[in-house]
Amino acid sequence: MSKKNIVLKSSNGIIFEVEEAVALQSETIPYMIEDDCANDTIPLANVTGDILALVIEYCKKHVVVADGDGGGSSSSSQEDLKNWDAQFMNDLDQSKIFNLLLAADFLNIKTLFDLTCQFVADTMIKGKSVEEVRRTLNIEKDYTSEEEAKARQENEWAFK
Amino acid sequence: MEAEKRVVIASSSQRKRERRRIRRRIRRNEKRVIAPSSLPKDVVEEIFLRLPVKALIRLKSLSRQWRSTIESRSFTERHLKIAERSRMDHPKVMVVSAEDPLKGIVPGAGIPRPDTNIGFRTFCLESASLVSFTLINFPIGFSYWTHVSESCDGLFCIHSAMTQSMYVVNPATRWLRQLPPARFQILMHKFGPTDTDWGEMNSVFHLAFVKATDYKLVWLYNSDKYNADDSSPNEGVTKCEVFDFRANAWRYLACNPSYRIFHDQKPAYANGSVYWFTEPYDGRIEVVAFDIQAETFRLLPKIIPAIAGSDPHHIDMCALDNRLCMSRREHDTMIQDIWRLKPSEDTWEKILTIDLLSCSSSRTEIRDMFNWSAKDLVEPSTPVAICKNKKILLSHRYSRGFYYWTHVSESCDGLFCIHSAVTQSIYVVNPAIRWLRQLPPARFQILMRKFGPTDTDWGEMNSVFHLAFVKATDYKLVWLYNSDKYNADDSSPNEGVTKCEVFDFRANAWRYLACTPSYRIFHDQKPAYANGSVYWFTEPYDARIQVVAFDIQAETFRLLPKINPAIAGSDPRHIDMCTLDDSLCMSRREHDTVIQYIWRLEPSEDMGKDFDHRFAFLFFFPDCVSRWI
Repeated sequence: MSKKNIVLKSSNGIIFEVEEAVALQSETIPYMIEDDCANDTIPLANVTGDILALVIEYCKKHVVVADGDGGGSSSSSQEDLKNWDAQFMNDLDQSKIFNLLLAADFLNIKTLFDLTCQFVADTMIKGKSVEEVRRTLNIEKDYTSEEEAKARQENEWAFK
Repeated sequence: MEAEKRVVIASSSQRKRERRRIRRRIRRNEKRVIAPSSLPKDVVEEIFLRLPVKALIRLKSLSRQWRSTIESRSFTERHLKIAERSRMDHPKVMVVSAEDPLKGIVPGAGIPRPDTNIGFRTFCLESASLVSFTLINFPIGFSYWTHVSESCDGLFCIHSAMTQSMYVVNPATRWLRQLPPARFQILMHKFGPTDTDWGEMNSVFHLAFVKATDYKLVWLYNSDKYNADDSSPNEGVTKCEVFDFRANAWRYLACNPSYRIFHDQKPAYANGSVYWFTEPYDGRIEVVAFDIQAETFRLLPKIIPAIAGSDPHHIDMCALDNRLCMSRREHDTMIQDIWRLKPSEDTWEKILTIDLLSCSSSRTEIRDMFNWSAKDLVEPSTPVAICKNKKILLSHRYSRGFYYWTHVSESCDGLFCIHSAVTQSIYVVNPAIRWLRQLPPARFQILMRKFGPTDTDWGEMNSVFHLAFVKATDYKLVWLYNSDKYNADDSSPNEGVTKCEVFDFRANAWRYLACTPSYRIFHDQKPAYANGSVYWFTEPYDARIQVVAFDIQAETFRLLPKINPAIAGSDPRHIDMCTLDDSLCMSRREHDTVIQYIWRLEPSEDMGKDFDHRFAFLFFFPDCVSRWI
């Protein structure tokens, strides 16, 4: 039995050939195939090679587990996968994480998107000051200083 | 496999919308040169949806735009959905308690001052640690039996019997809203109830906080002299009031059919309906169900015969995984069965059988005016949730805490020694195999009987009720107690102010053991057994509590060389000993903060390191209002 492969091309022209089951964790790719975006090679014009490599690494890891158990996966493999996810995210820097998040959003890979969002929320936002969050997320302050002070005062307890 | 994944999007219109969205995304991303530190707003929103409430509230001061996004209804609803999902993975429990420990102690004050400060503590069940503590001030306080509803989307409804104050509160955001009193609350006040009347009014204290399209409060209670009201539809023996949050008003609802409800229960809320037990009619208990959306009452068509024929004090209802469950405790065996209703409502499946004797409850007897040893004789434990690790969380309204019970078999010896003060009976029992052996009474039990104690004497004898069941090479019972007039005995070695008896299972006999050193032990404690020794607190000597340790193998006594100063200097009623992972632990409750600290003895016996966890238990509420959130 021959498994069908799908060829993905990153924005900087790097070619990845992956099993269909791996690629189909993305809910966007089926549409690109249907829409004849490409017959044999699917160009991903906004995902660079290094990020696409990460996405594929993640999808490969997760397709094996989804396959291997024929339904409810055992709790130990769930646990292993969780640990793997944590390690996977921990190894990335902020710029990679943001680009991975955008790629997961664009490719519509729900579990990767969830994982990345939660990681950003927990490590870059949750314990940070408002000013740090503005810097991290490039958010423009449209409050005047008085308005900001007032907004802060209303919820003083949350800052303690 | 692939076909399945493609069928994710059902209808063609949905599909078109999805495609448009994707194309838009593709175009957007093609045009944009992504700065590494910049994310589109919808993605940032997704990140914010995964933050805890407190962090979100801080972020309201990011910008005007973000403030309005975070406060928007759609954001709030999506946040709730994600929070509910994570609740399944990381179960938490809310403990609600009044935070004024001095209330009611004010001498000469007729009615105790209302409680205005209520504490909300969130515990993570996985680590058994305190996650958050929020103190909220309710301007109009609560007095006399403060009741807290089950949580609905993290919101709680709090009210008390004697004041008319009633609030809905969100402890996570500290938001609260005062509600107008229900009709019957106003009537109750006009009636001017005496203390006895208050005591009899117990059908009226539990309301259900539910959500159909909007939130609602549903209050079903028995018609009675103190809530007689001409304006009510009054078709039956019960009345029902419903609170609409939009209209900010209570309204009566006709009860049809109407059956008097059992006076002492909390309604259960599952799968769109609220449920109450009725009083027994012809020896049979029914269940009233109220459809939240349609606002109609009916009787449940089928109830388990064991429940229907039971004493209503021995049964309980609850919701687990949004399904109605009932439980019943067998009086003699202390076995509690739990059944769950199938959605078809025609079948109950038994999901759990709990051996209550195997559930630990670490507190000693008759402290805080409550007879702990009899707690399970009073009412069954209520399941609160089934956790992922196949453990079930039980709450007992008198236990003021939670305990885990696991139905995977446990490795401990599983034997218990049971005895009672007035009779001389003493048994060793293995509840798992229903094996038991009667033991001859200890020397002091015989002496006590000869002494012929009065009720007052019994009350004063409380140093003698706790023995230690231990194992060296063989099993042993070790009974250390203070020497006293009622156990004076010429045949004892009698070297000190305590006596010790040991039971040998091979010899089937008790024998005295010389106590050296001998310090009077604190009268109200259970000995702790850890790491080959048994431990007791002494009475304070020069305001300092010592710990007596007994080596089970060598049968020798000694004092522990070092005790945490906070323990040694404490009132012995505020401290406790227990065993965790075969290490001796001591805990002390801080009177004012209601925080309980727990220390563990290192093998070097150098007590004094802070144990990782800090627990806080509920101390002031007669009615445990700990709730699943």
